[in-house]
Amino acid sequence: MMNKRAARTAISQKTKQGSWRRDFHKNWKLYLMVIPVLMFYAMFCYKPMYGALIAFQNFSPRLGFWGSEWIGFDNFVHFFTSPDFPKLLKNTLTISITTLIFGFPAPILLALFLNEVKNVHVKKFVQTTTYLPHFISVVVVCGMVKIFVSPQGIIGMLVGALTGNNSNLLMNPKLFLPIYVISEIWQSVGWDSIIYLAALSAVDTEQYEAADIDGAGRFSKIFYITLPSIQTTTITLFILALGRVMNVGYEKIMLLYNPAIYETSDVISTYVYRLGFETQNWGFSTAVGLFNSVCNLALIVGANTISKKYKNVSLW
Amino acid sequence: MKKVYKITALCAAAILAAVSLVGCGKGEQASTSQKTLDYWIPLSGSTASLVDNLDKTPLYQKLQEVTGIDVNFIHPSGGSLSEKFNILMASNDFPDMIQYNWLTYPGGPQNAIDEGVIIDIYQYKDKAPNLIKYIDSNKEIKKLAETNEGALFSFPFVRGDDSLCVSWGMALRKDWLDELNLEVPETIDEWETVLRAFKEKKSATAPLTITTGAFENSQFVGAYNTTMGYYIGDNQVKYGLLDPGFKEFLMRMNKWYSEGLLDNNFALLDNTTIDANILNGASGAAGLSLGNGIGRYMSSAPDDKFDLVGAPSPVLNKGDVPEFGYLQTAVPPMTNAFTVICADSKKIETAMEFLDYGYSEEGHMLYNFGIEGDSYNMVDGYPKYTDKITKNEEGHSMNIMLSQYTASYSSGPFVQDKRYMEQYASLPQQISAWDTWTKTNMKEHVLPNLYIAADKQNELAILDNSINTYANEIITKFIVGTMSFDEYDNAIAELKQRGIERSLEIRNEAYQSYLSK
Repeated sequence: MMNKRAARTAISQKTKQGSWRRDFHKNWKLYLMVIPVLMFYAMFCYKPMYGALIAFQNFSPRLGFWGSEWIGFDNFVHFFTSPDFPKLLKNTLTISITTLIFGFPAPILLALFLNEVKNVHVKKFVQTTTYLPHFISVVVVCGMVKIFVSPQGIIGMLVGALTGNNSNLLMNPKLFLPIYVISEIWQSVGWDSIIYLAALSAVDTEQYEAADIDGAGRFSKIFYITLPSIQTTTITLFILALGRVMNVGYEKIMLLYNPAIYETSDVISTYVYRLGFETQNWGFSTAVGLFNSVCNLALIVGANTISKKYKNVSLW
Repeated sequence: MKKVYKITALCAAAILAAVSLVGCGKGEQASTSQKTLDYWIPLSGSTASLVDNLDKTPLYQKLQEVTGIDVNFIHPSGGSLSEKFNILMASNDFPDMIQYNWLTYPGGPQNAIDEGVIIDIYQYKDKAPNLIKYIDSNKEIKKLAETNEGALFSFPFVRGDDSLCVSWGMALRKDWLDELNLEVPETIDEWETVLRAFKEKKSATAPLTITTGAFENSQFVGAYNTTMGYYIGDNQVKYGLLDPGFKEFLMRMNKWYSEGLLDNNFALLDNTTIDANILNGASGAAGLSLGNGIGRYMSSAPDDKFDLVGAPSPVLNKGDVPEFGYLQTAVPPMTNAFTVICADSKKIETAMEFLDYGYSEEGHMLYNFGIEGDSYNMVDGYPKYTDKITKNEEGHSMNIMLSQYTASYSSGPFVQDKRYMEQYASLPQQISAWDTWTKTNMKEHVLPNLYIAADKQNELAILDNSINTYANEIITKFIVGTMSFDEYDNAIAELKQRGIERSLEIRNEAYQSYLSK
């Protein structure tokens, strides 16, 4: 897909005027194929976008978009001046950035490990066990986490024996972050490593052979051949991950948190959920969601600009 | 070239057709007969254990038969009910009737009428003679069911007797108490002794297994002359956390928590865990409901010794009558308590007729006791459930059988009959617990259904969200001990900064309007 597009752009740059029609004539099947995709985006991504305007309304579904009262920036003012705002922002950033720092390298390390392991049985065993959590629904995963960290659970008992404090780990505000991040890695590391494994399989083996002749050790080969080869994949995925920084999944947090640890676990998306679905404050929750999206957009554009400038890798 | 366009055109046409078909789906459903009503109504877990649609229950089959009105039941499936309701509201495509807690509609029920979502029943007065007659002869019910503007927005569920407003309270393992030679605890100190004995002598890991829900229902906190949340005191609305007694209460709970008397998981408890705690002997005391709690545990008791006893709402001094306890209003703000008719409905009069039947004499018997000769028999003027309900041959519990033949076990558009509960809670343990729990002065303190003025609803919703989240957080943290009591005054100050006083002001205005109704 990428190559096709690049090739097409190259052609159009050469012939410039009148080329589009010729191109269409030549590749009409491709254009036909893209129609459903475009329609999907138009209908499900662009069409609902006007709905973001209800962020500036005191919205009631009955009165509809045209009938609801316009209230300007009131919803935003309420949110930014709310006593919860600093906490929500801090938690959202802490949780997502910590997840990024520890969660992003984890699949790369796993992929490198799998790439180096030569024993097929070990490799298969590790792959299967690490992929497995990805296929379990988040509700079940959180149920399992809750059981593990309860005083009768395996982790809870272990911590209890070590520290002598036999209370539920999920009721200690300080422990929410590690529990969240570790379970997140556990759940996603195997699946996320697949894309790196694919990238690794594309590395030219002649380079390794040449390095062997030069007397390079295992780690030198990793540092000088493997990692640079998957650099583009890594940066692209990193930019995409940055675009999700403000999107801490509300499902998982809702399933894990409780009033004792709101202080460290309440994030913007859970707040939006409570306001939108529990109190039906549509306008307000849309305003908060819109703020979230704008931050994400700024992050992704920023990261992309930096990467384009220094590494010449760009999403667009 | 021509061929290309042809194919493209064909594809485009096909896609357009597909898209427009999707849009049409709605239209086809509506074309059912004139007498068929669409009824959006949550399906209770008990009902769902035998059937997947109310249309298959004897109660609703009979209802359709006697009224001659066909009903198409729409049950919200899975997920949280409020979420499903909100999605229904956002769809703007309404059935004829909706059963839900309409007090939570944004802007209140009056707003739902003003926006043209639902109708004011009074505008069709002559179509609901039975309901109007009942409401007019019960002034208290009328006050609870009408908005401040004097509109009747629903066919409400009504507790037909004061005693029906109490169906929940604290209960303990009676066999343990007897074995340890202890009395049923009445005061906080006695509770402490009992719980400690449970822990030490019965090796209960979580002697008292409750959530903050028990405090919302005034247990333990009531001893300190306050409760969790809003209540009525000195003729105005008050907020528990602002009372001096609340700190003492929290300190005592913190002590219990650190001693391991209060379940160490208490912020994370769900019903399954509580069930397991009680039936496995990890706990000796919990907050239980009459039927689904005491009744269910007694029937699934692990051994013959297992026995439960209801305890009064705890007090500070021996002999005091509990000032606070668990009590619902006669028109309880529950999920299934208000059945409304949508303003968009083309069959408003038919719907009125269908719902009004529940308030007639025959309707009353049908909703409460089911079908005469099948689920109940009149014995000396008393409607007695048959063995089919009480001792089902196929082994179904009474709760499940009631859920097929009656609506009295939960709620609906009718007046609940005390004689249902007399038979449902017929175990000696249930009878005595019911009697014990009823003896409080909570009637003076229970918050009636407040109808907040529409222009203040939005403000209050935002305040409430902020205040409730914070209050739950600090209450839990003080009890667990992650927040020290040195910070108590700061926490209260923070609560005030979050607008608790404004929230009380708005609620008091609504309360004054309620009083002057």
